[in-house]
Amino acid sequence: MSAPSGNLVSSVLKEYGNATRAVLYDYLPKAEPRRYLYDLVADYPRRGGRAFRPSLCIATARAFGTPLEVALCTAASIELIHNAMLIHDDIEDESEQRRGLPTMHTVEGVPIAINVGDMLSLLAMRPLVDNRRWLGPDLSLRILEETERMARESAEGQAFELGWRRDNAKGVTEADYLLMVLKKTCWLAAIHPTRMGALIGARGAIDLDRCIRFGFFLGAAFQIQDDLLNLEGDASAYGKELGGDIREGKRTLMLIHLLSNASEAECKRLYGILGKPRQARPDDDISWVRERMDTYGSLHYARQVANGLAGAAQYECAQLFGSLPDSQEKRFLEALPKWVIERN
Amino acid sequence: MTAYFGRPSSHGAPQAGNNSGEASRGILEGGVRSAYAVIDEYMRCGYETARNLHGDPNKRGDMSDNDPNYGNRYNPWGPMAPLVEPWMMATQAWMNAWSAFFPGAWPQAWNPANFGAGFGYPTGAQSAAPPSQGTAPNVCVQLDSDRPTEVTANLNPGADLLALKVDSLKAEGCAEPIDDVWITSQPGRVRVSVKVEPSLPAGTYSGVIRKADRSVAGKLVVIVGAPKGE
Repeated sequence: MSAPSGNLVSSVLKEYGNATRAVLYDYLPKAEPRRYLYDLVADYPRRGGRAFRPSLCIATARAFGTPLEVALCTAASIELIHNAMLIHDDIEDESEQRRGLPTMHTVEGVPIAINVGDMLSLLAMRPLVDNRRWLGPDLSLRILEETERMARESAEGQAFELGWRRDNAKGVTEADYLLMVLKKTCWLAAIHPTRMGALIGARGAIDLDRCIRFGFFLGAAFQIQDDLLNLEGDASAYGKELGGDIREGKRTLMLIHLLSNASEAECKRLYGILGKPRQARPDDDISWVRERMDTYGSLHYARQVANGLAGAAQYECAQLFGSLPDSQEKRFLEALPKWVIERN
Repeated sequence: MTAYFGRPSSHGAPQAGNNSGEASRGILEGGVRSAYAVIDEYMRCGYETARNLHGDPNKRGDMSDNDPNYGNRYNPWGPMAPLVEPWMMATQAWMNAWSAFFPGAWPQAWNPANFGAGFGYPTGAQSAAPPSQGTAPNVCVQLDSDRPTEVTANLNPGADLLALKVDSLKAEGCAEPIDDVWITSQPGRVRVSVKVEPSLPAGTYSGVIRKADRSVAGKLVVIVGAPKGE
């Protein structure tokens, strides 16, 4: 990535991330029970993160000329929901690390972690109600409806992934994977923030369906890059255990490519490994899967697909925002597709 | 295990050269094509679902904006509207009046200058049109026809603030109506979509635009010319 656009993305993420967190913390109750709930509610948000989602929402709204404050409640809500889903995802995936630290359920236990995730989801509703101050009742209600849709799409996508893993699904195709990613990742990561930013920026007078394509390609490129980092990233920067996706049996694009290119005997062994419980998958098995991915060029394949999707996101971005006047936020949106596939 | 993690992969990646470049390009193009197929199908399914629910193209589901059993953006108080709505309207008017004193607060407009062409709307002040209180709203027409066709939508002031539907368009002496017509509204703008089938006889087709309670909100007239060559 060229340094200027990379710096722009980093600086905008930092600025809007800080602004979002400042508002978000105001919505975290400072009350009892602290030890078992409210201190834990603040745990994941305080670990940091890139604040990609709220920044995308704010930048989209600001690209229309909207003042920063007007989008902050929605941005804070998006970040709260994201953190809630992370806690539940970590339980469902049996993940051990999040943002460089042990996952909540491994420290506090599954029941408490589930409850904390539930509370974070509920806390995300209050800023949407408070949107009335800035957006009026009609637009605030519209954003609430949109949030409900995003949550539904995300849960449906997660259902695909969890079901495939539980049933050790065979024959999952690239199109199946992209549909799963569209729902599981793209809606919360990119489609919803873009739609909400556009809705706020245009005060409701906008065709939101146009945001779906941009958000899909951006979010899918983001997910594939995330999956690649899980296999070959810098462990200290990545914040999660490397190889965790293979250990969890996730149907990533690399795994689907491998399964469609491996020999019959290799596929049989692969499904045998994927069919074991997570704890029963020895390191040797995981290494073997990773080595086969290298042999068949599965990472190279996925990287090329991610590059293509990022290019499509750039195209859809131009269709969507091309008529807006030049601004830092518009340049940020234009730089995002390249950034998502080059981040580490 | 660690031998295979934390480093860029090189095994199995195509070697440098024209063939590998073409192979990479093929992967890239295939991936994009596959992704477009997925998103196009997803969007098509969404459109069809919205269109087919309850046989009414304006309905979007159990919590449709048109469904009187639920609150919605035009009638957020649902079946309690007769009791609550007048009070809420007064409250909202009072809030609007006060919000004018706070810079940047709704509904005082920030300047969405020149936005909107990418979203299918005209640019400039038109796209930021406020809800029409005393005048007829702007109308945007999407027409699918292979011959000269004229569309006229007469709407009552404030129609853009209501959930609308339109009856089938019928012409005198013609049994075949235009069924593929739908209408959506949002503050300041009403969108009308009409598809004229190639087999439809030339004529003047009209239908009533109605509010959710079936009362009249306007009229839609479509004049279809003769097919080319006739």
